[in-house]
Amino acid sequence: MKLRVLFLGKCEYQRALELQYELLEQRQRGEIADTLIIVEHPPVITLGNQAKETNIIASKEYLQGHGIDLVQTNRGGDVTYHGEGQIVGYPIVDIKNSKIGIRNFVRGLEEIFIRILKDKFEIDAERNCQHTGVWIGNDKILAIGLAVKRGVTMHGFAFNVNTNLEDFKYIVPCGISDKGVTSIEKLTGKTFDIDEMNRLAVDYFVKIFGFKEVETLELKL
Amino acid sequence: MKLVEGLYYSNDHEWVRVEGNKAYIGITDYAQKQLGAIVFVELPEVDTEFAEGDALGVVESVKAASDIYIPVSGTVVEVNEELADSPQLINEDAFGSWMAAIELSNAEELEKLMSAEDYQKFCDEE
Repeated sequence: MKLRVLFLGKCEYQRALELQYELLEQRQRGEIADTLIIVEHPPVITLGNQAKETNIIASKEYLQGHGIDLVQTNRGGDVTYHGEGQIVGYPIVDIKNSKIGIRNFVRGLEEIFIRILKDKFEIDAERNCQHTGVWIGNDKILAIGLAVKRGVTMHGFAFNVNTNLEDFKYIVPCGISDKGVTSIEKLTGKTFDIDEMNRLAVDYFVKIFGFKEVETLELKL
Repeated sequence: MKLVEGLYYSNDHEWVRVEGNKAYIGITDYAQKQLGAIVFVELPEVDTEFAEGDALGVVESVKAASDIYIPVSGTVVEVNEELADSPQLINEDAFGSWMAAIELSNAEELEKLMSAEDYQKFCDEE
């Protein structure tokens, strides 16, 4: 089983979304192998399928003034924020023919970051039975919001490495008002090279989902 | 795994209950377990015509938003509005929670679907 990894570097949300749709269709037709897009977005707030506008606290004008885009999407989940210093991954993976199923796929994504936190940072993180993602105490470090179309996943996960957590104050992350967000930087007091962290995330993705072969491409959109 | 005899099953984990020329469609107990807590259901519009394999609606859980595909062609005659307000009903009783009822346009398509027994085998392999 082969995985293609596309490193986009810094790329606008919409451009990466267009690429996701292109790859989704190609994957559905069986023209390409499972693909993982790794990207870093400029500040953007995205709304899931059934996001409540009230979970965006700041006004549209205020966000615009601060260079933060607002995008409606078809992923699961409520409101989230992406910005620099965050690993964003969009797996375009056939979970139907590989028979992994959505439940194990989500568990696998969580497992990647639980293990990275443990192995590399000696941080104990956990799952929360009511909310997907990875948590350290009451604070979320990994957010997951997927969509499944004809058995192929799109959208994905966001892991806070050096993310500017201040920007999360403009929203109620995932619509959960009684919990917070955290990052590796906040937990360790150090910043980490995002490219290195991206490669680490890919290594664990490959290991946990059992891919035998990896093809890596750097792509500038 | 919960199953109901006498229904037709698709390999996308939908069930079809046929009453005359009308067919009720929902997702299976296996599917709801996979998805986890369902938080939102997008239902089709009445009078919309669908061909087999078209996206009928969306079931969104805490894990993902999944498109639901119609396993047989037909025109929607009724939708289960109750699910719009109480999507968790699918978790509680998947086989009682139909999403849409359609007027079948090609009943022969039913022959391509699985029986409860075949579907059980199909799921055992997953």
